Amino acid sequence: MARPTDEELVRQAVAGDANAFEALVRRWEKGLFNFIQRYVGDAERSRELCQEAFFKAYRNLHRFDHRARFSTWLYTIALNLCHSSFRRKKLPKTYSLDEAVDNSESGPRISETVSDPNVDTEGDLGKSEEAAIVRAAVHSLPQELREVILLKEYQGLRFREIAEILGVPVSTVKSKMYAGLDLLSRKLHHGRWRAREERPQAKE
Amino acid sequence: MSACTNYRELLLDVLYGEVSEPDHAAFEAHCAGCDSCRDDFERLRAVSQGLAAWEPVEAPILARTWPLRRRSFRELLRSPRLAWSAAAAALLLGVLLRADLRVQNGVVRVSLAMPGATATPSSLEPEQVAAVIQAAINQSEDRQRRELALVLAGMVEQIESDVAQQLYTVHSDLDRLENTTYRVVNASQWSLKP
Repeated sequence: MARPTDEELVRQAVAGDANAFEALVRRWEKGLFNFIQRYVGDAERSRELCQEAFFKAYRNLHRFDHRARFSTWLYTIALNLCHSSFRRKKLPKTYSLDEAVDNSESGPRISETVSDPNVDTEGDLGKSEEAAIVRAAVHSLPQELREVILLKEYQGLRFREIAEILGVPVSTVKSKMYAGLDLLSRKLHHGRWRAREERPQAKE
Repeated sequence: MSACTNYRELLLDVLYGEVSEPDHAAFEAHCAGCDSCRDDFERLRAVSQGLAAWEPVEAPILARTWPLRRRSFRELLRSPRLAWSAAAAALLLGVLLRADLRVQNGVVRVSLAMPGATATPSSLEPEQVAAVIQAAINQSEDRQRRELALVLAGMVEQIESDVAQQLYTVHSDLDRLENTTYRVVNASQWSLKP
């Protein structure tokens, strides 16, 4: 049997099939949660926002415009929830994510991963260090650039879809994407340099 | 680089494979004669590849709990942080109330509530009563001192955390300044299309 499309599942759910929406949740929860967690930072809040996004989608399912894609619509809902959450809680522009090495209230501390014994000794940066650097760099981006980078790089959406989610022209998405990558190139360069500087001198 | 801003959109299309064959060829042709665009492409491609180091995190497995959670939607509105705050406030209140009681005991010099003063007062010599009372006061003062020390330690901790927060804010502000500077500089090179 052919796998039903998202939009078919939406139709079934609107018609009263409870399993259809559950199938949609199962299909999209991982991607959506990853997006929210990368965007918001805090795992517990991300989980709440993710659930809220699905609840909101569920309650408004009958309003879904079938010319659109369900995923795009879901991301739009999630993004709006994240925005209002930022406003409500007056969160800082950057966060530490509790999923990795650092659980403190300050920003990600790359130096803490530097002493990781699993890190290779070739003089280059280890996997966890590199991840921490990328995380810190992305999180320090201005919000408007960060969301575009996340949607493109980590969710793999097309520029057209991102434009639809953000409600802006494709050219604006691309200009933000370029600016984001350009800024990241500097931030990553700086982050790697700093990680090497902070690395304890193991070798003589 | 600024002369090639028209190629930036195309560069991104090529980078993410959202390009038609003729456009791809046009970009290749341009890059063959333009070091700046070629370098730009390689630089951004390296950034894009580098971002993969930040791997996906664990998924929440909502689907399994979905039908249950649907019934307890109100739970979502209850923040766990709020519960923790309430618990902490209750604990703090308890500590403060107990502290007050002890101070009261010390001042009034009623030693009945104090351990070590269970004997009936009449069976004790005045000196012994005085000693018991003195012990109770001392005990009370000790407690007060210990509690004061705890309060002070808490204050120090708070101050340290405030300082850390302020340093962090300064750090964030510097970051924001960097971003703003970048945007100002960038705006002059790259005009946003409406």
